Formats: sequence, C-alpha cells, structure tokens
Amino acid sequence: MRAFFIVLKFELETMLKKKSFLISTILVAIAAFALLSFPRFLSNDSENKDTQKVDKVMIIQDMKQILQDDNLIKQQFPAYKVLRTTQLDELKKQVTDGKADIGFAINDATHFTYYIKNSSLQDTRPAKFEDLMKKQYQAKEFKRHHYDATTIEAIYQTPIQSKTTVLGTDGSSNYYYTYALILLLYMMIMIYGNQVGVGVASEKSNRAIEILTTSTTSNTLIFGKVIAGAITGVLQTALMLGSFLLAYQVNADVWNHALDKFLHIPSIVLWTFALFGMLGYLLFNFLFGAIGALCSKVEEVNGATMPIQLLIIAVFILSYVSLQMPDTLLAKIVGFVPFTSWMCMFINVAVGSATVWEIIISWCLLAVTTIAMGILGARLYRRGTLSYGNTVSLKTIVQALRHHE
Amino acid sequence: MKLEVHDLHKSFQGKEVLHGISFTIESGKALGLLGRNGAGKSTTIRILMDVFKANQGTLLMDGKPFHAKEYNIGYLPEERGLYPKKKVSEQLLYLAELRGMKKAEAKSNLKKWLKRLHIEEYESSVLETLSKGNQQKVQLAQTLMNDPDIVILDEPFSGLDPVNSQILQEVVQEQIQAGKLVIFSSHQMNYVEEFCEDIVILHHGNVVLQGNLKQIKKAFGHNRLVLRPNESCAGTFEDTLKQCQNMINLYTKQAEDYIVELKEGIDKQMLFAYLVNHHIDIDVFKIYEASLTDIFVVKAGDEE
Repeated sequence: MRAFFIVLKFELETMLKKKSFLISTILVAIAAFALLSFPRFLSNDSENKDTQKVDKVMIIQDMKQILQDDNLIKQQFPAYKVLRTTQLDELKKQVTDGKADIGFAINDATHFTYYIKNSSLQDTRPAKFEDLMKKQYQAKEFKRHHYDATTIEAIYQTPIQSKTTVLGTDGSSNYYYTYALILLLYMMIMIYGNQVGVGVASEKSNRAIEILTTSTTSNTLIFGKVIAGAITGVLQTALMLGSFLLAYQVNADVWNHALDKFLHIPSIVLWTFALFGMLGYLLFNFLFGAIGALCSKVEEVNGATMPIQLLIIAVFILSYVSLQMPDTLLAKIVGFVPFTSWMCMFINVAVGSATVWEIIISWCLLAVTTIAMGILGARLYRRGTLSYGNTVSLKTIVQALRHHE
Repeated sequence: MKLEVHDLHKSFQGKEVLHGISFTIESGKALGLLGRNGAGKSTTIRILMDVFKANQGTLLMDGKPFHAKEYNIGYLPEERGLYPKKKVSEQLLYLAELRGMKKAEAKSNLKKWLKRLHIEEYESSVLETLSKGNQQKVQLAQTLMNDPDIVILDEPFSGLDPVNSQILQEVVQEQIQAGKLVIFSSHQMNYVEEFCEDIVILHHGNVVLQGNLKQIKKAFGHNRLVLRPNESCAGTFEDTLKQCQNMINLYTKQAEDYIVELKEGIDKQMLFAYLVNHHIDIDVFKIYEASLTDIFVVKAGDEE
C-alpha cells in the first residue's frame, strides 16, 4: 500500500506541475469571469446604472404639447435632465454638439422622431419613449371616451396564474443540467483518459517502465497512475466549475439570476452522477492506461485508443437519446450495461423513473466491471511492458491477454 | 548468498529462446554473462528480475526458491530509461522509495552516489539536459542507491567514455569487494576479464561454456603453442608446419602468430628441437594463453 501512495504522489505531482494543467485551469477561470461579466460591458447607456445620478440631457420639441408632464418623463428616464425647445434645428444642433445626449421631436400624439448622434444596436431609449407616448395617448383617449383608465389597465394587466405539480421526475427543468453533466463527464473521460494513455506510453518510450515494473507490482503502478489521473481530472474540473460558479455569484444580478434554475440540482442526481461518473471514469482510464502500455511510442496512443474513443462517443449518443426519450426500453437497458450505465443511469434518475434498487444493481454491476477492468488493465500493462516495436491491434491485445507471461 | 539457476526454458509465441540455462553464482564474486546479440542474456536476466516467468526451470537462493521481490536488487537494464523531463533528484528519490527505502535515507544515499559518480552538480537538473555519459551515471546511481545485495548490470559500459568507464570500473570493483553478488553482462570482454571470476557463455539460448575464467583460459591454452617465424622464413613457414603434421595441428593464425596444438605424446621440447634441427628461424616460441575474446569467438562464433 505504501508503494501505491508513492506512485500516486509522484504521478499527481507530475500531472499537477504540467504547464498544460496550470495554463488551461487559469485560462478557463479567466474565461469564466470574462464570459459571465460580459453583460456588464454591454449596458452602454446609463438608464440602468445611473438611476441615482442625473447627468444626462434630453431635449424635446413638442409643438402640439402632447407630452407636457416632465415628471412622467423623469419616471421613465430618471438619469435625464429634460430641456425643451421650439426649434428643430436647435434640437439637432444640441444633439450634434453633444450638449444633449438624445432628442425627441414629437410630431403628434402618435408620431415622434428620435435624434441621436451615434446610434447603437442596444439602444432601448426610443422604445421607452414610445411606451411613454403610448400611455399618454391611451390615457387621453380613455378620458375622451369617459372610460376609467385605471380600471382598464387593471383588467389588461390581470395575470392568469398556473401551477404545475410534478408527481414523478421534473424532466423539463432537469433537462439542461443533466445535459451539461453528461457533456462534462464525456469531456473529462476523453481528455484525462487520453492523458493517462499518453503518460504510460511515454514511460514505455523512454524505457523507464522496465525499472518501474521491477521496482514494484504492475497493479500498484497502473492503479496509482489511473487514480492520480482521476484525481487530477476531478480537481481541474472542480476548479473550472468553481470559477464558473464564483463568477456567476459575482455577476448573478447582471444575469437577472437567469441561470439559478440550472444550479439547483437535486442531491440524488448529483450523487448518482458522482458515483456512476467516477466509476466510469476509472473504468475507461484503466483501458486507456493498458492500451498506452501496448504502444511503443506516444504518437501511437491516439490511433490505438480509437476504438475506446468511438465507444465513448457511442455512449454519449446513447445517453443523449435516453435524455430525449426517458423511460423507454433502450434507456432501461443502457442504464444497466456497465459500459453505458456510467453515463446513462443518472439520466434515468434525473429525467426518468429509476428505482433505488435499479440504481444499486446497476452500480454494483459497474463496480465489478471496473475492478475487472483494473485487473485486466494491469495484466495488459504488464504484458505491454516489453513488447516494443509492434503496432497495437486487436490481435495484439487478445494475444497479450491470453499469455500469462 | 548463493544463487542457483537450474534448467531455465523460455518460449515466446511458441518459439523457445532459452533451452535449459543453468549456472551458479555466489556473493563476493562477479559472474560474466556473455553471448552475442539474441543469445538469451537479457531474457535470462529478466527472468531473474521476474519481468518474465520461465516456462520451466528453477531459481534457488541458498537452496530456497528465489523471488526477486523478496531481495534488494540493483538492476541496470539493457534498455536504459528514466524520466527525461524530470529532475535527477526527483526520479532517483521516487525509485528508491518505491523499492522500500525511507525518504531520509534515500536523500542521504542520493547525495552519496551523485558525489561518488562525480555528478553532484546535476542533482537539480532535468535529466534530458545531461550528456549521454552523465545520464548513464544517473542510471547507475539509480541501480546502487538502495545498497543492493544483488547487482545486475546489463551492458553497463555502453555509451561511456574512457574516464567515465574508469569510474564505473572502480564502482563495480567496490561492489564485488563489499561482498555483493554481481551479475555482469557485456560485450566488452576486457571489462569481463577484469571483474569476473566466473563466466557463462550463451549461444542460441544454450550454455556453451561456463566455469572459472582462469581455469577456462588455462584449458584453452592447454597443449597449444604460439610460434612466430622470423621474416626470413615467414613465406615458407606454413609448408614447414605441414612437414611436421605428425607432431602438431595448426589451430589458428592470428596476424604473424601461428597457434599450433601438440599431438598426443608430443611435448614442446620435442617440437622446439625439431625446429632447431631444421634451422627454422623462430622469433617467438611460447605457451598459448587464450584471451576471453578468443574463447568467445570460438564458442559463440558462427562456425561453432
């Protein structure tokens, strides 16, 4: 056991000190903050952020005295000081010279012209002014027809309230985070699995493997490497997700808490994801490590692990189908088969109707398969140690497994 | 300690590469395991190191089954290799700890061996930045850091310049004098002659010669003489030898020297008298002592 921890520590240090690990983690953290803070930089006008300060100027030409109540205007445009003019040229000049930020020329009760020096796509001020004019027009017309404007407004604004009570699983609200989680798991296995394979192959190509296999058991080596790879993957993912969550916490108000609903993941879904995901992650890392040991050069790893990568892609597609069509026979089957259940079972939990017993049985099957893959991986690793020069094929793998030594 | 290797057989994919290898070695002695490329030296060593299992045969240490994992073995494999992108100290400490050494002891031994091998200034250097010879010395430090009882060196001198070879020779001698059991595989016969009391020559997976090196050399020189004719009769010397076929056989010719084998009942005085009586001018007349290279060529050469 001491040797296992020595291998684990050495491999962890190696992986964590890699420039690729440090750079990608830092870049993702910066990207998370930049992405989630982006909306802050989009609000170029002052209507939201300058509610307290009045430091903008609006100039209005209203020859027909349609909109005379400045208080009404200030309610809609609190950051603006309202100037009035009778000359259109004067209005244009003030806007052009920058003495006024915006200008409105009201033609009649239903027409106005908006003046701005430089327009932008995000400018909501004409829409606000239109709303103001509309309300003014409606109030005037209601009054002319002797209607009570307040009553009519109340009738229009009365909401129809509805409530949905989900008696089973709330598939619609679970959909997005379930999709995000399977994507995360898929990416973790693809990236870190490949790293484990490359790590083992590089030990073989630099011939360190013979020293290693004569210094300790191949089980110790492959378990140490794979678990170190798994820890690195989980740690980096946690750091990346953590930076996203932190960036979102800081910027949640800018996003109007729009992403909150994706973050409230039920604990059962999280636990199933963690337990199944971790085993699947280990299972495939063992395979990547074993295939890496059968490669003589690092460059061979990508080609040799192609069947595993295709399998993972197939599982990803199957899990996506299960997500679209939960509680079908296909979803049930893939939830139990160990090579697919690591990704598919938690989908059944999140959007389908898996029972506790189904979860336990599926997990036990997956655990047994993962241990078997660990032993198989160690055997392939041992066999691959000294088989230099041969290109890895299915035949070599089968031969490696058939020969005890 | 006495290590006995009995009747090792090993096959790869149905093809037998070792056909019953047997030899014995004791502590305080070095065994030279010799053979041409593909003779089975590294396979034998790998079986000793438990990298492979033999298909047949036994390994005994002091009469009990030998398992490499139960002994402190320093192994310098033929396929050299450490981590090129890691610091020298990092990887040596890792491997020492992996073989059961405590960290503090490993650190102290690391310093000792780097100093002994004159590479202490590279302790914090990344391995791939070192010269080939210094990388080889790091590999040797890795082999000896755990103060092993058994030292297995597979081609330890390859890639070393004469100065570094001298350091390595001293280190190997120290190990032998310290009572270690040393197995030494090399193609460089001069080193084997220097270190090894016993040799085993493998050829196509068979032991073709083994035993005490001095006795083997003596046996190879037995009844053989070196004759070097004077320039004046060099041209006709082979004819002269043919004329005395009843006394000698021509064993081999090495440059100007003729190595002849005395026939039964003939001694060197009789041959000498014959040459003198026939006025054959001889510059050198001496007892033949075979070099290990000669023995190796005879035993592991293709004509065998």
